[in-house]
Amino acid sequence: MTRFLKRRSSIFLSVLAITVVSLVVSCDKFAPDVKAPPTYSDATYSDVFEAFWNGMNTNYVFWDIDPTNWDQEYATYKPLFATLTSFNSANDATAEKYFTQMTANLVDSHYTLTFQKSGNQVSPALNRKLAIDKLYPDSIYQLPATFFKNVVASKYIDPSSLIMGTDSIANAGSKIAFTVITGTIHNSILYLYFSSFSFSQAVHTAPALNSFFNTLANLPAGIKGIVIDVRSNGGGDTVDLDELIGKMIGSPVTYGYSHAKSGIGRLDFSPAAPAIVSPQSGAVALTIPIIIIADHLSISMAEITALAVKSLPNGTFIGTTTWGANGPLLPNAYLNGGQFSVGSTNFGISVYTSSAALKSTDGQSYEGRGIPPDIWVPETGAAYSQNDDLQLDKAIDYINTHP
Amino acid sequence: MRRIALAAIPSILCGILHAQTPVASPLNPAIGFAQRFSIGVESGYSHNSLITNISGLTNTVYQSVGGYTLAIPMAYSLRSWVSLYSNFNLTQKNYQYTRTGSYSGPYEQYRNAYLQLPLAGRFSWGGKLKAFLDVGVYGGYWLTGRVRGAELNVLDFSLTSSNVYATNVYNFNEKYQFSSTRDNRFEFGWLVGLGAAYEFRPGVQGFVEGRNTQALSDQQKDYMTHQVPRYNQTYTVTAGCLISLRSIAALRRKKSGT
Repeated sequence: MTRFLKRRSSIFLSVLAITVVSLVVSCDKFAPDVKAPPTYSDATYSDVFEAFWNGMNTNYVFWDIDPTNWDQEYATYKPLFATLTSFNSANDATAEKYFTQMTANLVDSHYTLTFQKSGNQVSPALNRKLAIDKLYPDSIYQLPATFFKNVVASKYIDPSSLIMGTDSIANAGSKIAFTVITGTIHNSILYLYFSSFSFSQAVHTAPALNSFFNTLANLPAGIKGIVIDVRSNGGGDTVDLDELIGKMIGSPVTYGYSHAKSGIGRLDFSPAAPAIVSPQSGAVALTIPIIIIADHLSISMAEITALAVKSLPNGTFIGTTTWGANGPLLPNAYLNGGQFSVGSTNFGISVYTSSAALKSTDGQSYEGRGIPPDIWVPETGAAYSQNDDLQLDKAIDYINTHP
Repeated sequence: MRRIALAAIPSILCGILHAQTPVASPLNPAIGFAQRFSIGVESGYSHNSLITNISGLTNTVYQSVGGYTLAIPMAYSLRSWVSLYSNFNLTQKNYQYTRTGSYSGPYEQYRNAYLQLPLAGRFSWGGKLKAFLDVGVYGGYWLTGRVRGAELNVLDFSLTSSNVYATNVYNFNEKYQFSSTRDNRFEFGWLVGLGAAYEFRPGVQGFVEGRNTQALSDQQKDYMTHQVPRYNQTYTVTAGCLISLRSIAALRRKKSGT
């Protein structure tokens, strides 16, 4: 009996000991290390490739819709980078080519790689559009820089109402021209053109913006419609959407949903956040048609604004399909996703990519495809040579036929 | 409060059974199935952690979150000191993705319910008051989930009086949408528990137990290169009771007067 009890005790204690040891050992054994992209070594091209691949895997926000097989890219390019054994200009060029190839089909149309040593930049979306233009001339016809002053302001705007101005503003580390044109057309349409979403930087353009908003706040009875022109507008500050559309609505309007990364996994996303434009102080709830004219060179905030206008009951988008870069951008740390850098002195890359993905209220993603217009009207070089603005013509016609 | 109420259920049931169950003969190898097999109820508190590595993310941690567990415990006595034990259970395995430091505010709390079936050996020591150790394995299914919290919303500036991204948060509380590509809803692993049981009468016992349930399967399918796995590690503290089938039959006979 005593022997039996001793045996029971030893079994009990053995099981207990194994269990306790297992508990202690097991807790931290699962921990492969995926580091923050800038903290990887850049001792070899393979190191930079590894940092870049992991950085994209964690920080890119379109993996749920992107057709690129990122695992296949790893399998294909890892051995190729391994053949680049020493840093020199020839291998730099080869490495740039490999990085360009493996990102060529990414849908993010903000996406830009900047190779820090050479200064070369690669934009997959731009390359795709240039390729289309070779096949179909005029397909990405770019309005000349003088178009809005020479054609729209001179031919369409009532001379007594015309106000325009230009500022030189800071944009992504460089200076760009910020132009605003406003006035009425046939004394019945209130028109606003602006070349970027940079209202907070307005100085010489402030009179034009103030004139537009003052007219909007005290809308003359004869005004039958509003035209917002964001053609060739490269985007800018997200808050300008509320500044602009928020002055024309009486209640908040949900125009889409955004989601950002919330984890280290490729498909870890936060719950959808509603994208909302809200009424601003002094807003007038307009019931007259609000037309936005946008084109294939309307990018980012210009496209988001087109999507917001399409969501208004009295909003219509006229023009051509927009660029296809709909994701907002902010520093990586805010949303644990988006822009990052890898490598440094030996071979470095800055990756410019969206911080969140935007979908329309019906769940459609237009990233890489662009926002489709309600009424498709292309602009052409032939029309410009005749001083014709086909898209503005259509907007005027629409307002006149939709009282 | 709800967790306390749930934990109290087995105690109440045990009390009723204790008062009404007739005395049965002690368990020994010669007795039949009805006396060897016991069934009961069990409930308690769960505390889950997601074991993974997100050191590459800025000011971000996963935190443990509490929940509840409900179970139907079953035991089959092999010897007076060892039995096969299982408890078919519904257990919450909750955790929270939290931003910290200068990015604090946003968080996502995941409340996941798992249906689990463990199989363990229960090794007991003592007399009427016994200490026991459970060691075994389990399989489970991720039944449902809910996520609530607050995250930055960069496309709604009505949320705050300023346009500071870091304070522009939206709140959510919604059903978790499973991803067929990412989420591995089947889970298996091992468990170990330590507890104490008191035999009120032969065939009727109440118990309390602390248990660690460690998943060995990744919470994600193997869907990408360089995947960082995630494992649920769940501590539970439960109270319950077990009653042998023979005692239940005796109770029925007594009620029907036969």
